[in-house]
Amino acid sequence: LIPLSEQQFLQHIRESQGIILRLVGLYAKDQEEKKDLCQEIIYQAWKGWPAFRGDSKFSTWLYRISLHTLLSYQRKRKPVHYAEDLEPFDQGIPEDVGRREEARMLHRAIRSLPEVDRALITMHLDGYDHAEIADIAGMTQNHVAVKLHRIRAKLSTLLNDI
Amino acid sequence: MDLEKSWKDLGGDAEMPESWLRGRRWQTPSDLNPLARLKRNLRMNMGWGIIIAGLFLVVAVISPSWVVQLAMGLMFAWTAWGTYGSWKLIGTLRPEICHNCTLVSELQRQHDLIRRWMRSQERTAIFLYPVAVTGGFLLGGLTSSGLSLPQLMARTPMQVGLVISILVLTPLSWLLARWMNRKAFGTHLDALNQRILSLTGEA
Repeated sequence: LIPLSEQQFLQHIRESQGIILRLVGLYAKDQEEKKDLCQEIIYQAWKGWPAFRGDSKFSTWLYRISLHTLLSYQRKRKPVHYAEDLEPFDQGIPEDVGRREEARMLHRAIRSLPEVDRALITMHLDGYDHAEIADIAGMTQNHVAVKLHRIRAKLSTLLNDI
Repeated sequence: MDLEKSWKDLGGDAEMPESWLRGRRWQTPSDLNPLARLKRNLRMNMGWGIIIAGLFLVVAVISPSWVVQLAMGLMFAWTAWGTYGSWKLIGTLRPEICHNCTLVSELQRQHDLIRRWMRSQERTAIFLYPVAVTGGFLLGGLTSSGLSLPQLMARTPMQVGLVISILVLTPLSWLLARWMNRKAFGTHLDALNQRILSLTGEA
């Protein structure tokens, strides 16, 4: 029998699993690492679960934990090979071939950015404003704005090159 | 291309396989958690420390020579000190991230803890190994020659041999410890440092 709080926790995770998968998809090198990273994020969320009071939305809280985990984990010692398949994410990609291709291109471009830049642009594209990003990352708002400006410019170049 | 629109198209509705949530595997840290790995290493260090300290104690008790007893006593004390250091460090290592901290402070915390662990290993190498070298050298000399300690150490080759062993093996042990630390956590430490610099605008 699964205890109630564990059930509630898993329910929240199931509802917000898209956040985990989308972020993990930008950092994991392969399917095995993807699974390990998901496990690590859920573990970190589970450890923080007793202290979660609902001051912020669960999804926002999980977002912060996911980014902290993804930027502090230790990569396995093997050559970096970014597989270009998006199989686990295909469920949500639209049928429209043009839009689908653009989404793939964006995914590929973001994956080629430095790790910190990936986190910042992701937060930005997910609708977090500069103040929120600064709060999560521990940066000044001014620095966030400068970084995002540069990242968007870099993304434009990358997307033109792809 | 509209970045925001394309980003939304990137499947936020995807689902992870149900098997990833079954069982309680997600209630333990993964192999990618560096602090959990450190904790495991330190526990292993402690286990070996206790076994080795116990062996030193047994040899000290059964040996009739007070010199060997003294050497073993010293070795026991050093090993116990090293084991105590590991135990103290384990207490400060939390594999859980700080849920309310900023990303920079969390990365800094992990960086500092790993550096602290590395320094403790290097300290152990520099303080523990010379004692081990001396103890091993004297024990080997005493048992193979059948001489007493004053007789053994009265020989010039033994004095020179002991000094050379300590002079060569101590820095060598320290370098070995540093190399092993770099091999285990060097790349990760560099990556953490790079991320911190990038976030603080110093990169």
